[in-house]
Amino acid sequence: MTIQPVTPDPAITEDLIAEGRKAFDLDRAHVFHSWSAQQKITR
Amino acid sequence: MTILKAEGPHVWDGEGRRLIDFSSQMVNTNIGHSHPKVIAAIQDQAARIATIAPAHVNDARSEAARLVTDLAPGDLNHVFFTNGGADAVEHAIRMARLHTGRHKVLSAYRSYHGGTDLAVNVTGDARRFDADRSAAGVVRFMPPYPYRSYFHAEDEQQETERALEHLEQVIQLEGAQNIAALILESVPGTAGIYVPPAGYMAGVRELTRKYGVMFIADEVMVGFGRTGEWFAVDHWDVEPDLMTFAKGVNSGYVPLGGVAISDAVYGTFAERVYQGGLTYSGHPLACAAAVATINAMKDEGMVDNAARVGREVIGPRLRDIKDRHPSVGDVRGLGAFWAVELVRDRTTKEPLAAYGGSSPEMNELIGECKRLGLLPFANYNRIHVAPPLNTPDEVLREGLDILEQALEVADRHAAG
Repeated sequence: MTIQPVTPDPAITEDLIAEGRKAFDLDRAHVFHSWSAQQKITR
Repeated sequence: MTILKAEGPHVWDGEGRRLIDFSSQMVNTNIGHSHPKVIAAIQDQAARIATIAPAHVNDARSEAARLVTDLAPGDLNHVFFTNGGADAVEHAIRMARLHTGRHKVLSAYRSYHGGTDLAVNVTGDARRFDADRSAAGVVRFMPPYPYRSYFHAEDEQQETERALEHLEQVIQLEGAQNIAALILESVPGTAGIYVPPAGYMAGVRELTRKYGVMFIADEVMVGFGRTGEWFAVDHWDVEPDLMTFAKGVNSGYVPLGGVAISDAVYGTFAERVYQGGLTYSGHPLACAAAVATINAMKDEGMVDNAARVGREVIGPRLRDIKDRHPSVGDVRGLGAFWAVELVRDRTTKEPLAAYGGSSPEMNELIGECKRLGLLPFANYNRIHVAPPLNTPDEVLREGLDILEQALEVADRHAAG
């Protein structure tokens, strides 16, 4: 059997996904990360 | 001392006695003990995501970073979260060294920057002696200290002028081209609560700009409202290149520290990896506590309250106490952050405990405070008054009454 790519969990709501996107944008605006160049961080 | 319970501005000792907490523990419980909004935020976060690797985005860390950078002065628009204040200092210096390509670090005598290797080596007080090693590249300078002026100054203006002249000489004699950073507690804390005289901090900022030295403001103890401004540098409109914080950022409910980073320093690492990972950088429980703490401080006006109690309650009462008690040589402070410096003789200023140590007399005084229901913060020959920022006035007055009565013990060892 071929394993298929993982699909979104229906229990994860659109609202929660939107909150996650906002968290990502804030992270890129204000959080400094180690082990990566800051402008090379991707989703 | 065993603590059985902690609530608001009080703790209960192992015998069940309630004490007023004038220490805020390690000067970190700025919002008092067991604040319900922060407890609830930690519980909620624990139920959602209790921990996650730092490479992954989590909403608590993102929001904490947004709140911190909104409050921070100047263009400190980025935050590297650490486990506490000492490692924040380590990372701030590492960033400054990588940014400038220089190695030396200037720090003040009578300072404390943390217990890890480099942090304790930039420390300027006696707590570094057992770990002191010259290879750290640290050069120390004399700070302003008007009560015991190193510069034989007769007033604060002279103290500022001479301290800055001395600092510029140190920079020149050490070679500015070798100096990566100058690190300075905005108000030196455990080492003695030395509020900088007017003009000093602005002068330090001017000198560091002149010589291309990164100015690291250590706000670990005084950040997040302790002195009556969100950050102590705000008293003097100073904008550092890097700023360390910890303690008050979440009132110490979960360990957390960080470095606030200017756009210029951040730019150094735009295309270059920063080596310095921490498993718990931006830990969700700690960051959720930070978000709730900062919001509670805003909602409940705690920073303004700290400024008010310093101006109207603690400061005036401590000055009265100084007038009445021969063992009190000096009182100084800002907001909810004050030092009472004890001496055997006001004329000679001989301290009630030697520098770097304690004495039977100081221990007797501390014991008397506890016996009467006050938990003080004590170091060498000083008692610090550093209650939670939201301590009710009547509790502050009760604590100050206790301190005044306890000082009769110290007065017995003082001339006059």
